[in-house]
Amino acid sequence: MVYAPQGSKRDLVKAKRQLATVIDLNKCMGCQTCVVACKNLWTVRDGTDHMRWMNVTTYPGHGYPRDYEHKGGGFRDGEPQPGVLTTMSDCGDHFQFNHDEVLNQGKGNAARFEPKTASGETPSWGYNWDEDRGGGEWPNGYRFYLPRMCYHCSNPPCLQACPTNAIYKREEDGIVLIDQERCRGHRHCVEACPYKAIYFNPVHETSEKCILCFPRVEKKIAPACNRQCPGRTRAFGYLDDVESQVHKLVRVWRVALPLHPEYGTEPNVYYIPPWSPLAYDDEGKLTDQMRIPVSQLEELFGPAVRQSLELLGRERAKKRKGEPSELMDILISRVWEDRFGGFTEAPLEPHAAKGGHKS
Amino acid sequence: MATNEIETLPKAGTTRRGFLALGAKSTVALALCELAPGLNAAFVGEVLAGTRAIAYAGWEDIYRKEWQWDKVTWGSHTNACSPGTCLFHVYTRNGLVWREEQAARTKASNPKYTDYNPLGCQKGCAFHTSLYSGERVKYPLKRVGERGEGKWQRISWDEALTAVADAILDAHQRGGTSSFVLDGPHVHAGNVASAATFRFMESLNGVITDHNMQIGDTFIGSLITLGKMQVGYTPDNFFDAQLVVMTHANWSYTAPALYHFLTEARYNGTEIAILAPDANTTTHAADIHIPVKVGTDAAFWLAACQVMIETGSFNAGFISEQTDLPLLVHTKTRRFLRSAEVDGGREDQLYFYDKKSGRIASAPRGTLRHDFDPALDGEYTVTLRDGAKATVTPVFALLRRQLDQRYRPEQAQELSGVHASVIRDMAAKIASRRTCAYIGFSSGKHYHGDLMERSLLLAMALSGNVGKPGTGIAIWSFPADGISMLAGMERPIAQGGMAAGAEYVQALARELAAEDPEITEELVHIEMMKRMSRRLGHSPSAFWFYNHVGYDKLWNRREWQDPAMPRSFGDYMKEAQAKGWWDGLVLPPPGKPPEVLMYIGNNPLRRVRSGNVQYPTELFPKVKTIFTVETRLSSSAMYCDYVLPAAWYYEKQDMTLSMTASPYISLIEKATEPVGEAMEEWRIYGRLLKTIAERAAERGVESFVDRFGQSHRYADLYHHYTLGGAIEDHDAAVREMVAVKVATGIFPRDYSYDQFRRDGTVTLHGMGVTFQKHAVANEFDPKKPFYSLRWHTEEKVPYPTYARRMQFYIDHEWFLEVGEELPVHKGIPPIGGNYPFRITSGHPRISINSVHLANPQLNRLHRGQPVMFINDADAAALGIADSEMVRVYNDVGEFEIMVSLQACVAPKQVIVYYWEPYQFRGWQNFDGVLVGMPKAIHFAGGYEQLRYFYMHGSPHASVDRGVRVGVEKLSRGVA
Repeated sequence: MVYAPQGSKRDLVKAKRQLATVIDLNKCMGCQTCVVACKNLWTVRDGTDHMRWMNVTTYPGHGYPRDYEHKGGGFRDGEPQPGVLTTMSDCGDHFQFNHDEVLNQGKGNAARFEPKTASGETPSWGYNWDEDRGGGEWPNGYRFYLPRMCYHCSNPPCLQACPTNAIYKREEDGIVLIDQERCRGHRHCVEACPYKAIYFNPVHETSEKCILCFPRVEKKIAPACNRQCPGRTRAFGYLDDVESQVHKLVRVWRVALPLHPEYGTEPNVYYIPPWSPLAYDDEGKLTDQMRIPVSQLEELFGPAVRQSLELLGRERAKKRKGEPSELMDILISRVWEDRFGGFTEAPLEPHAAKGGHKS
Repeated sequence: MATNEIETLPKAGTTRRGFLALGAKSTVALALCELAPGLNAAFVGEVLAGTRAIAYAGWEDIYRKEWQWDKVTWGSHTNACSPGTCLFHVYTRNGLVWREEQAARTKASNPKYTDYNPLGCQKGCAFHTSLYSGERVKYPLKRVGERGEGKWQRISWDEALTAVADAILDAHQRGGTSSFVLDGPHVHAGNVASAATFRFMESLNGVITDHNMQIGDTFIGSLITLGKMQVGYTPDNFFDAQLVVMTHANWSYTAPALYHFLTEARYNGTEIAILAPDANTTTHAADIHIPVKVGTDAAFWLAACQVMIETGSFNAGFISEQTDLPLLVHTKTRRFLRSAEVDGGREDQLYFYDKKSGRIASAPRGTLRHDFDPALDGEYTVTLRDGAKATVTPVFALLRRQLDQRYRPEQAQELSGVHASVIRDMAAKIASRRTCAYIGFSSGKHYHGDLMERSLLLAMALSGNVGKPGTGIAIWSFPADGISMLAGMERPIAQGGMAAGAEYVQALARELAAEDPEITEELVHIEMMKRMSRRLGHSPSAFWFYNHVGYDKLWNRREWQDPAMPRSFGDYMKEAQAKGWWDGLVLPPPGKPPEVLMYIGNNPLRRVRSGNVQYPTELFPKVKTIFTVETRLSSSAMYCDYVLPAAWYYEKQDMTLSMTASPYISLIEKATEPVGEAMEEWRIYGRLLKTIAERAAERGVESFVDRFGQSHRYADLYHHYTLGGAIEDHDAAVREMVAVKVATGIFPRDYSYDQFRRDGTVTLHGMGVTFQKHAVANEFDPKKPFYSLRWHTEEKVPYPTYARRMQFYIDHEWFLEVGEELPVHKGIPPIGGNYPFRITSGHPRISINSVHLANPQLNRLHRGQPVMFINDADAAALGIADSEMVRVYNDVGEFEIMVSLQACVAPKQVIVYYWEPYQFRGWQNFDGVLVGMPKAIHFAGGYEQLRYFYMHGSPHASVDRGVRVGVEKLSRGVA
């Protein structure tokens, strides 16, 4: 990757190959393990407390950062769109807890263990505040969980917006990175990103975001959010690797779809759209309609979602009849490692296992 | 307050990086700024001139260096949850654990099924933060203020152990051994720690109140029907099912590591149905959500049974062989026809009417195999030995009549709110497809949970969905031999430690066979457990609560119990005791409260219903000394006089238990030294026993006499506790536990501790050698999905019930009296008073019991405080908006809580997943309004399966689902 100051951003955005992630919303249970996995690895440093490079919220809902879908950025008809910055509160804050006051100061039940915002206030919003809320009306209430991260876009508006050319795609794998030595904290990238996946580090005065665990990826270990997901929702690998599940789900079966394709950023995280339980009619009889209105899913994943859902339904119907379905078998992934497109190394084995302990 | 502050660890508001910079100048630089030297001006000039290019990759080392460690070890988090067997890599740097990650070393049983990887959830992945969290206990603490006040003095281990030893010796001298009580120890502390706890208590002949009968993870309906409850399957069994019906469970919260088996089976063609009042957070993995009104499950299941029988779609062959449905009952007395009255034979010899021979035939007790053609309908006249004529009819005929009269789908729709068409549809599916049911832990929290389980099991039996792949029910099952052997052996395995137990079982089998030649192996093992429970001072918690914790004041309110019961709770209890059903189990005796109360792995103020009110007001004032061996300051630890700091996971050697739900056993290694002065439990108890011996000697007291009249020398206790000096710490205990697991077939033959250290995790290979092996009644083959009860369905081994069959008809006098001889639906009685909302509860998403409730990282994944979920429309009617505070109340108490609106909550239902009392204003926990009113007829005994042994049977004091509450907006609004 070479920076050519006399050239255009085109050089920074070039990538020979592209890593991609597929997240299966039928398998996501909103457990937040990916969030914890990411947090403990990357954002326990000074100035990163409020960041959730990986985040999961309930849909319908405000999302994370709060109302990101209404904060602008991205492209329309190829033109960059204005955006606004996210606040600390939007980014979910970093609640403080009063263990010592409650447990050690002799106040008895006069003190209550409770959260305060990073600035010491009683919170009225925070990360995942609308957890499990969902939509619809009883008995047809519904919800699903939407995990989000940096989309490592093929047309990243952050990269285009950076005045110091600190943002680039890695040529070898398409990971979008913010050079922490070059970033000057102008935050045009935050405004430009329609997914609001970039966070400001107020201590170091730089912008930071998901790095797709490139230090792991370089050692052939899948990113932490992908590998640590207990729901086995994630497939990972090179989009052009015809053996990889991401290739098959995105390019061959075309059931995995980008979030908000209308943002025009060509994101490289794709979603298997969610099913939902069958709805009841006014008398309480079961209908053949799923509870989540397809129109709502169209708002998220574009018109292609109808085709995706129909194909998923057809393939499952084969399984119910005892017939084979390659698509269902991919989504099942009996062998967990098959999900990761060759990024299947273990994340450093303990002392007694192969490889010995090492740093 | 300096007494319990973290001195070696970061304080609140200081990041770990800041701490490391302070603590070790040479530490790995972690901050981006430290590696961002700034740009060299000359270099920038060259770049701008186009004569040099910038290589971007160099700065990337900043993040690469984050991915470096001093040490990686194995870790897990023992039995705080089910499965609780997840293997993790634990990453240590500079003497601190920085993160953990699932090791993902599990394989599928065979290639047709999915593997278990990565196996581990958000709690496991955040656990290291608990080690260094503000609620961690790091030093021995002595209370210097009022109980619960939180005024502590840091003291030395010697001071703490001396004080506790003196208290125990005082108790022995003043009140005898039963005045030292360990209240409801859960296995949170770990397997080794649990074995140590049991050894310690057994050494001192103390009393252990039964934790399982406190938390209600018990399945009385299953005990009544199957004679056991520890049955289960591996989750890959879902792949062999065509239909899964999950109820009383919410796996997305409680079993995230196994949840994928649901979604993957669904992709594989299995239909998933969830039966629950609310569309819980697992519902979106389901095809069908069956929204029963709170507490009406039995009506749904019984109507499904009615449909199966009416449409003739039930499996007559199966029920004739495996169940009591063909057994004959007197139409007049509603009692079984018994051999004692027919020919002077056994009281428990029951009869079919054989259509082939046209006469009654003795139902075999030693096998389920028979060549009769039992009638399922009709009435028959029998001549009794006294010459009297009696009319008898099969149970099935009574059942059919009752179902037709009371549980047609339209009637069930009225009761349950589920449309009759849905019931018919589900009944047809269950009858025609391989169906497995999953019953979670909520049924044990229902007043009439037993009736729900009995009804569900009836549907499974009628459809023949038992004892074959893709069928059955899962409750929970595991081989606990590691704990029980290590707790009970006199000598290590290598010195023949298991021989005494084996000889005891053989002698017992001979003794029982002399009375009943058709006794089964399973019944022998159950009898052994009954005797062991009495020997070890296990006490069913209902007695404990009633006699010592003031629950008599709550539970004797007749208006709150089933109106069909003619006597009060206390009268049932006394009658049961008078009949001798509970001899040797009512400990400590009424009127003799404990002198010393101990806690480990229990937080009764959080988990015992109304415990946050009852314990501090009714029990604690009567107790001289309360101490706990704890890792964290729970709400209950706040009331202790002494807090002894225990090492936690990653700070000591241990291993996990294996549930069939997750058939692996994982190693936990000591990655770091314990924080502060925390110590591993095996050593704590050892030192305490030595101190007791020293203090006794100083008093000139040589020995004590146990409940059975035997004398024990204090000076011998340590020798006994350590198996003759062989096991003095966790490392030695883990090695011994490996030996136990090899000897009992739970581990592969010839497996070794060294191999375990290399592998980190072992696939379960067997179900051990005790009663649990018989409970599941199937060989565990690691190459296949596991399911239970095959020995009954294929080998025709009798069930351990009175009728020696799956028993749906209970002719015990108390059951007949309240109309529960057959499964019926009964509404939840108005426990707590009559109020418009029904409260339900369960495990929260981010904590296993209360272990993680005060963990900051996990609390930052949600609102960080208690919330109550309520339906949008109900909230609107009360003028309540999201995030506002409400007051929730009933006749018993009240609490304040923030509301969270949800479309998926049923009308007039409110849901509060549990929290620590100290998370509520005034520590008025939501548990305070729940009462925990047990069902008094569960004191019934004298009837084979109506029995108690440790963790099994007796009224469970955790009934809370559907307790009625009122809700009103707090005038001061937002918190």
